Amino acid sequence: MATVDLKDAKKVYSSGVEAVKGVSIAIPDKELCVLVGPSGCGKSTLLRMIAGLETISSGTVAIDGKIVNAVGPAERDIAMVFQNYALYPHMKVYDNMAYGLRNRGTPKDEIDSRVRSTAKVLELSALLDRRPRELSGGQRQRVAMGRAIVRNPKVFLFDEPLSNLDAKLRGQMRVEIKNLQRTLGVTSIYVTHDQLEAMTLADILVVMNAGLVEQIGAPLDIYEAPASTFVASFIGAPPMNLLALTGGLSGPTLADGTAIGFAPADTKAATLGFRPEDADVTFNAKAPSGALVLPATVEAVEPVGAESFLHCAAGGVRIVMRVAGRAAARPGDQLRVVARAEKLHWFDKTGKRVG
Amino acid sequence: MEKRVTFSRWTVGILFAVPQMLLIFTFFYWPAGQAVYWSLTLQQPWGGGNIWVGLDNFRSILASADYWNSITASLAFAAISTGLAMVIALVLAALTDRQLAGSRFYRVVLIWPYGIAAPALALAFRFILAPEAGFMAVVNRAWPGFWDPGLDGADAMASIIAAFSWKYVGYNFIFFLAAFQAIPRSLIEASAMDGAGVVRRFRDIQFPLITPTIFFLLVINITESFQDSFGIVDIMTSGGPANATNLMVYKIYSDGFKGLDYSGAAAQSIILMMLIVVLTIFQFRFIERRVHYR
Amino acid sequence: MRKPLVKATQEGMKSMSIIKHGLAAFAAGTLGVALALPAAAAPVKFDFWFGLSGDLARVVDTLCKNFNASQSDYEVVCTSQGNYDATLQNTIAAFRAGKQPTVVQVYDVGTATMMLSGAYYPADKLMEENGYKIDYSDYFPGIARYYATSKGEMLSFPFNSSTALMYWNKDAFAKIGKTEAPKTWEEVGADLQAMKDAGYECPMAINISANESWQLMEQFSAIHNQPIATKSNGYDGLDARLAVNKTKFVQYVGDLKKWYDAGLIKIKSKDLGQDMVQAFASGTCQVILTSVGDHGTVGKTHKEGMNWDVAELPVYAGTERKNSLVGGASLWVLSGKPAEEYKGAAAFLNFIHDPKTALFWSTNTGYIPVAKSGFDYMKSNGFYDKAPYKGRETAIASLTASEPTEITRGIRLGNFTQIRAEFGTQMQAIFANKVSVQDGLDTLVKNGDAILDRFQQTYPNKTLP
Ligand SMILES: Nc1ncnc2c1ncn2[C@@H]1O[C@H](COP(=O)(O)OP(=O)(O)OP(=O)(O)O)[C@@H](O)[C@H]1O
Ligand SMILES: [Mg+2]
Repeated sequence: MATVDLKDAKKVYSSGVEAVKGVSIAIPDKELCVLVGPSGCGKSTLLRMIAGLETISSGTVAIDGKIVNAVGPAERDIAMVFQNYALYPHMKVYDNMAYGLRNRGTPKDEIDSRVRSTAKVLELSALLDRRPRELSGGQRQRVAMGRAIVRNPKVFLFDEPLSNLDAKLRGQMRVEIKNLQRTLGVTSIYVTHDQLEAMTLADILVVMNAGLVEQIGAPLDIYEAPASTFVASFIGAPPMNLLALTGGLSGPTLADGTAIGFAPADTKAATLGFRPEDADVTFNAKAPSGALVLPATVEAVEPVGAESFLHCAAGGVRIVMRVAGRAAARPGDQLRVVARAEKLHWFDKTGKRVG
Repeated sequence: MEKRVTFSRWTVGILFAVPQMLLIFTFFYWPAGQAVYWSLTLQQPWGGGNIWVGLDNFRSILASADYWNSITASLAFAAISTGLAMVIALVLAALTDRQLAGSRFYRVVLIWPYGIAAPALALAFRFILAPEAGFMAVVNRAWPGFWDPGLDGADAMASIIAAFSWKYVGYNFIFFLAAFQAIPRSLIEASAMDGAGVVRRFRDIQFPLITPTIFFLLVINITESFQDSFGIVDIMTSGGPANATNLMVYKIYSDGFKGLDYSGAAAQSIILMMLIVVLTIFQFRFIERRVHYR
Repeated sequence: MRKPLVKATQEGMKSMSIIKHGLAAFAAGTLGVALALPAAAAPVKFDFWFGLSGDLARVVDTLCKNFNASQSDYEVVCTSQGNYDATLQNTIAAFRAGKQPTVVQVYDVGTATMMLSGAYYPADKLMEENGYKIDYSDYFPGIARYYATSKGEMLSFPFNSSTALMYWNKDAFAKIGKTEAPKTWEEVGADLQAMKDAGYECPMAINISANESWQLMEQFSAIHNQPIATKSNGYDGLDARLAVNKTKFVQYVGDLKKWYDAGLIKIKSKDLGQDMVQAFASGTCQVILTSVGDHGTVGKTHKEGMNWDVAELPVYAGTERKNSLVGGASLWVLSGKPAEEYKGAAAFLNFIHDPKTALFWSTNTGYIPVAKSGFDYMKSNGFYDKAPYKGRETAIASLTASEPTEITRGIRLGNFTQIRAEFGTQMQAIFANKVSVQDGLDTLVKNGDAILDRFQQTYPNKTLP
């Protein structure tokens, strides 16, 4: 049971690539922290620095308050689930799970009981005598999990553990991982670039971009108040609609010249945004005051069952709207998008949230 | 109708197989058959005629102490040089694999010895190991008479083993390094996180995973030590002193080509061939079981 | 065309080479014309395979060029096969495939194998049929008998010939107060000891591989008139068996071993870093026994200012010295070739037999002339009077020390190469103290006899010509 603290951790690869440019995160005991961000932003690098698989160029990593920069991976008492599972191909499932315990000199009976009970939890009991190549992708994934769990480490690390599974299985495993993590109460760090996974799993969500942390917080807090246009467009599916503002004589206008009709929440505001579900679609000419009203032309309709997505041209850009059920609109329809002022997000020139 | 389809497939199959079979026949079975025939006769070297002698050639070879000495020498040579060449290469490759910087350089440098023809290599080693002029002269100055491959059979054997192993260290190294590098990095990392140190990791993960390569190299090294040793022996010791390095392949050459005893040489080459076949079967039967194919 | 050319070249070396060059140009010109004209005038080509390499191979090539330039009817194509063993092996392989050369150089100990091969065209018959008169009595008897049949027919022509000599360092001997080479082995023993006492690390160098069978066993036995094998060293039948474990040779090996153990003799070989000849030329070792063929090498490579000479091989005191054996190779004409090629081969052999060719050959190699006429011609040219050739006449003296006896005319044993290998093996075992001298030589005889027995079985009902 442990806390994990990163202080201004940096990683410069010998090739000169600065993969992590100074990251500070504090993860309390028993919490699940998800690192999310686009490909190449340095998530895996950061995770591997915590694991001890990469050296730390500067800054510190502390586990349970103890700085572990100079501690080897074996001594950090951390378990990791790799994206490709990294199961030992020449060992049976049982031995794959028992290997870490054996290396630590755990007594034989204890190994056996721990492996078997872990296998039971993960429904692997029938597979213990098989080799990895005789397992399905989902089974391999569970073995990888089992190998991490059986050791009962201080910290779990997961590097995109579900990305090789199909969508349905991914959904199941997501829930399972969450439950396991809760019941085991082990501090965990989970890397993904899937924002849905990130939202559903995280106690603490860390959004990374280009080697830097964009925002840290509870998933819904981040969803509701993204700290930057980057976070706004990365968290949420479909992403937040963002419209650039230009200063006109009678107040700010959109790219196509439409005046927004009221003052932004902040004078530095250069972009406004609203979530697809935070605006109403109406054919009505009338609109409430203090709301953003955009004439829009439907370009495409994507029904996904419980809801539909309308892709529209509005304010000189493309926006997406989420409507419940079957959409009445057809491509080519003219309509209005109405977003109430309190649902609007404002960002300055650099993309930072304002107001 | 269906019958005809199968039949024509058969014909096509055979048609495709024919060139292969012709090749195998002309380059293996025909010469092998020739060798068997020669081994059962006494051949006049100029082809003037021959006499059927049954198994007499084999009898006289197997009754010869020199031949048994040659077999012993060959087996010792095979075991020691294969062992050396593989262990050294394995250690080098393991070290290189850990410290990958410059591995491309090692690769080039270490493949060279294999590219060098055996006689050229042997010439170089003859110079290096010459007791009076080369590197060993220094040792001999300190301990006079310590190194004397000219009269001491063990020293001569050590010389050819050194040359042969040196050649195959490079060859083995390339395969070992490739095998190590084919092991996914994450496996090594996983075992590191599982608390395995360098030695354990090597023993439990890397070694089992390169067993197919080890097995392949074992078969190749042993087979080659029976065959490719010829040039080295020829240049370095000519089978001496007092037959101490008269390996089977060299004895075949000297009896057959120098001594023009084609029949005796044919019988010897059949015994050598059978020995290699038996060794190879043994390796496949008993060692391959312990190989883990991924 | 050929006859006048031979006359035109009788004015000595210089004019000969000038004329030869001119003739070469002329021949090339004719060749050019011949190529331009219908094929009728094209020379008949035939192959000559030989076993010499390096410098010697270049001399052979020149010899071939000279022959081709000396006439326009034939063109010999000369190809080195690297060494004697390979030449014989390749020739056998070629013969079995029907692609043999017309003329091939076969080393001395291959003679028995050749005689039983049935693959040759007798050289004397060839010459007679083509109208060349060769005076066989002109050959030194020691040389002719080595290659002749028991009835005296020359089946092949001696080509490159040598014999073994003792090379001695005059400076080292002067240190121990001697100006003459030792004549007996007893004297050698004392001199080696004296040189050792005078501080010489290596009074004498030998090597004990298959190759040294020639000077240590074969030459020694001939000079002491000791048989190497029964049946006149094999001349009288394939049932000859080795005899060297019962002759003076046993004492000789015993003495060599004793001297080796006493540090008077060192083993020198290429495998060990320095061969005998290098050891002698560098002044490291003071006495060696080797071929006259190395005379040129020592002359060219010896240490600055070193005084050295050659002498006949020593004998044990009280021995009546006999002729030493010829070493080297002879030229065989192979069967199964068209008649025109045989005409060319005959012309080629006749060219080689010419005394002027002998002079060219001996000047450029260390080999000795094989015929008296050649020797006389060279003597009259003053060849032996001055360095670097001075001393080489000792080889002739050694070869002609006596009329050849039944034993000293040569060795006619089958698969003798293997017997030589066995010699090397047993000598090494003896010198490494693995076996006693007598046991080693007994094993040599036993294993050698097995080889001879096998050879005899391979040629049932056949006898040597
Ligand atoms: N061993 C390495 N040497 C040099 N550069 C590296 C190394 N590993 C990763 N990088 C670089 O560091 C940056 C961050 O890589 P990292 O693997 O951490 O990204 P990621 O966020 O995990 O991406 P993904 O979602 O695609 O896995 C990338 O630009 C990558 O090219
Ligand atoms: Mg990654």
